[in-house]
Amino acid sequence: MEESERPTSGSHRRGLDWDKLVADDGAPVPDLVVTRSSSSSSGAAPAMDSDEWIAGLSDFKLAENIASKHRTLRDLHRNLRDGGDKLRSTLRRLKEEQERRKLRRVEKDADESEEPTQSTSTIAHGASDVSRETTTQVADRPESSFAKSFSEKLEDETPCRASNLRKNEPPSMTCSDPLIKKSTGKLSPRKRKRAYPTSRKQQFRGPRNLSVERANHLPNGNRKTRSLTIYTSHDSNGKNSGQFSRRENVFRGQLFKDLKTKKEPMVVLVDEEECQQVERSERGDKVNECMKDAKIYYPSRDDPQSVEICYADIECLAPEQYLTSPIMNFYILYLQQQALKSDKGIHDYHFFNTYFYKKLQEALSCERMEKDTLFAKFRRWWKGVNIFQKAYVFIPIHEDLHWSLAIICIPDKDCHSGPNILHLDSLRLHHSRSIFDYIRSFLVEEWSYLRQQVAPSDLLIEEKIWEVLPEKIDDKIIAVPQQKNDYDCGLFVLHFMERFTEEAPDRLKKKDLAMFGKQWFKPEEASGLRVKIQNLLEKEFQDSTEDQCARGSSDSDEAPAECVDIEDP
Amino acid sequence: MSDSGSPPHKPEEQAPSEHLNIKVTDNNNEVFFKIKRSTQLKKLMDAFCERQGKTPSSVRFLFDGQRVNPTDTPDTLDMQDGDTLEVHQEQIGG
Repeated sequence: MEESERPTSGSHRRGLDWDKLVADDGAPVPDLVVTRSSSSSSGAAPAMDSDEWIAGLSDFKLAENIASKHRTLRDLHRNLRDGGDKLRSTLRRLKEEQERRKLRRVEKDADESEEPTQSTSTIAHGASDVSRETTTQVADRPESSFAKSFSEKLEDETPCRASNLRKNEPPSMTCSDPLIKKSTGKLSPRKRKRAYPTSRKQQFRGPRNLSVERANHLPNGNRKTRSLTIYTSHDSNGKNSGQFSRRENVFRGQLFKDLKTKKEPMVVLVDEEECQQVERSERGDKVNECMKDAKIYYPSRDDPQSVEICYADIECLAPEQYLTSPIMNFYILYLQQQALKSDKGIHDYHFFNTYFYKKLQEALSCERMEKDTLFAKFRRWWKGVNIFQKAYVFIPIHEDLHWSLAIICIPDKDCHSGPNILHLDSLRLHHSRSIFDYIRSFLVEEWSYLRQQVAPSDLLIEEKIWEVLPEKIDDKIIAVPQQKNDYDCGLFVLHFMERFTEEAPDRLKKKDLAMFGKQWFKPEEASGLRVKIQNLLEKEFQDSTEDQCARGSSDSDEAPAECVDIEDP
Repeated sequence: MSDSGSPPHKPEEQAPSEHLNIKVTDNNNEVFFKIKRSTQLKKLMDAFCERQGKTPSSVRFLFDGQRVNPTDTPDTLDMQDGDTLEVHQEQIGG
């Protein structure tokens, strides 16, 4: 039935190839058939390694990301409590993404060669099972039935799917890679051929195997359950995902444009957002040039606390990506800025950055003698701040590729109690006890230092408690809404902070702990931060880049200059 | 390497020497740099990354817990002889 399926426009030579390929369907069909199209070769010739293809085509950022994950995994997996499973799964997804993009390009190429090869687009649907944006139709169908229904449905469904695909496809793909574009004419017939064997293979081996053929290091069964889970959680967020992918497209569009620079203006427009971009790109080439290496400093360059964010940092806000420290630190600062504006008692809060906890662990695990000097230096991290005069101290915890949050609550004098350490973890992954131990030691260190410096009358803690403070430190694991996936923990930490600063009383009393709980907020609220932060940053970058370009400043390294500064929001 | 942990050192150190010894460490490696007070720290950061084979975008330089700007100089950060610049790997989690 494949034959009947094939568009008639192809040369008969292709028919020949196809037959040969059918003959050896059991073995993995070499993608490479493709390259030999001119010589009417059989599938046996490994003319072109498909991996090379990927390397040539793939978004290099993605590749970079994969590489760095690999490194982390290699370096750290022994130290991770889960043996690196989580990391591996991310890595796997990254790779699948890469795979998916590749497939899309293949299919795009096929599309561009006048005759939309129907089976090609079907492949992309079936194989790129993790590509949420485009595969929802397939996703809805039970996995097991897919292969079976594949052949039946092929005929009647593909036309409409193919057109759907064109709509959904990230516009960026059309101009994503110079290589593809330059060679579109020449290569597409080959690719089309290549697509056929792949689709066959898919039928025989089941839809999921294909996309992970090379990417997947884990046992197949394991992986299946995994991707299934991801699916489910994703579907529950169906509404958001649309937004995400749209945003992502825009970003990708911009990034890719940077990459290809001014080579050629050929852009296939697919949706409106892209339209605007292209209009802009007349003067936009310049804008994009600037964007590539753009950095912003938030809240401003002169602020000693400011965070530096590269344009590439935004990528971790793409759907299902793990959040990175620059984004975390950005939003933590953003919250402080907002609180300043709203005139809430922000001076009663202290926010440590994401590096603090790790540094604290280091400082505390030293020998006694060394510890004193180290702690003396470490104290400069919160120079001029008396922790015990704050109402709340926020400490983001980063360990084992997971984010959680600790909050030190310093009670009022009339509370007759000591500091209370809270731990909020949206996955219950971190070991609360050890976090409490470290933070308790931190408080004790700080207490024994301050005891010699500060008169008790200056303290907000009751004197008789202050005297025996180490005994009075309490801790509590707080029940909080749990994330329903394995990638939103950073957002949860930020949302915990945001909600807490909004809702917590001036000083926490024991009874106030009732404000928390599994129903504190809907998990979707936290997940929604992804888009919010992305928008915030997008705007910051746009503002700063336009400024920069308007001033026509060159991107000289020596003087990144004031033009990338951003104003307080 | 003098111990700059305690404030009393400050006055005597600040005045005379034109050069500072700055330690850059990522916990596994320590590299010492001699740098003029007025030289941009970018130079030092780049040199460290190059030596360690790291891309500058994958690491963050912190001094006293604050991000170091490539255009900062020891002067602007009020660094003392023997101070340490910490190199932190970007953290990622989900």
